[in-house]
Amino acid sequence: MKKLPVVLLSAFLISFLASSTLPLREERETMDVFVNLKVYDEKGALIKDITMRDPLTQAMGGFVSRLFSAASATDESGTSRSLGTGVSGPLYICVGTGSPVNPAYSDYKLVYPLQCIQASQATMGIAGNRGNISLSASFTFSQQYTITEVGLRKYLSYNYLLAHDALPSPITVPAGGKLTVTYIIRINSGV
Amino acid sequence: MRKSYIFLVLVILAVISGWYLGSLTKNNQNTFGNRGGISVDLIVKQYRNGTLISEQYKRGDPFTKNFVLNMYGLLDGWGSSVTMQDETNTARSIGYGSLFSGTAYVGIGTGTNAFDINNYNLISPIAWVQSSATSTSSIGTNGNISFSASFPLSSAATITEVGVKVSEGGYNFLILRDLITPINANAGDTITVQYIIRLNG
Repeated sequence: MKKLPVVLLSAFLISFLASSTLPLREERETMDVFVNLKVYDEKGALIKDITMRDPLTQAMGGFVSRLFSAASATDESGTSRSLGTGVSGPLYICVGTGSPVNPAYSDYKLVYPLQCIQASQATMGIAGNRGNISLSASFTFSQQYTITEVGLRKYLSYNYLLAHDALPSPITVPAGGKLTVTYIIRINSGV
Repeated sequence: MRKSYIFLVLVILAVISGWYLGSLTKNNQNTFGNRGGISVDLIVKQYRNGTLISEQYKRGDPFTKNFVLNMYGLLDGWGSSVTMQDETNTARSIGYGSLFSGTAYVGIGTGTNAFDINNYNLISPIAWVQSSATSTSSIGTNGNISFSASFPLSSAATITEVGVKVSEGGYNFLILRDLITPINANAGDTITVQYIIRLNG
């Protein structure tokens, strides 16, 4: 029983750290797509931190399909286009204020886009049999906005929405505040 | 006995309180309800004299590093090329403009090595066949992409591995490989391999 305090402290600390530092759970697919949103106030203090899955859209399905055969996708104007060879083009992260947002595989645009910013250069890593890709963008707003939706857009002569989701609850970015959106793609994460 | 019981209760209380207080330290709200991602299902069938004699289904067929690099090319708006290992294990620099070129081959083999993300070919391939055109469908938030290939066997073999390679920039790159439950096939049997790629589960 002399070791009891050490054991109790260890159990407490391990569980505390696990609870406070493991935002990405529930990995269960061959490829998981998460999006993390962090809201900072005008003084730079973190006031909101959300991580959620981001459903993929028909355009992402078109690109995946294009790996294997001819394929098409609907662009942001609602026009179906044959996808050619190649993926050389900028990638944007978009936020919007649409309401209501009911994400569907057939989505091809945000309900009410507020701003799209070109994402940072993607980073890639391999650990064991798993691969990770991440990219992010930061939005600064001079006035207060309430964000309700987020999306990922690829430009290849036309804009294609690759992923789109509603936030579990609207988030307010205060005037002078900052919103950082990070996409995290984990490959072989659930196998 | 009583001391052990008290000890166990105290440890459980420490874990619960640690978890609770840890969750209070972050102002976050994680939700994983909407399934964002891709799963790969594999269906392998064996026919003898036109009759189905075995079938196996596997969920979660893994991707190789070459697939990761293809996805990187799609999601990177700044770079211009990726370096992938072709089917001969030669490093090839492929421009983003040559990725996703739409030609794929399904292969079967007799290798037994476990999947490794760095696999660049089947371990012991016995046949490659160009895949069928993809068929797509969707319901609600889910989308499915399916393609297949058929292998009439001219000689007996024990099939243990399957995979997919894509042609890009004039080279072939393995993007999927996995072991299957061994299939003891006779000459004249036909093996069909179907992949179903499910978006958002």
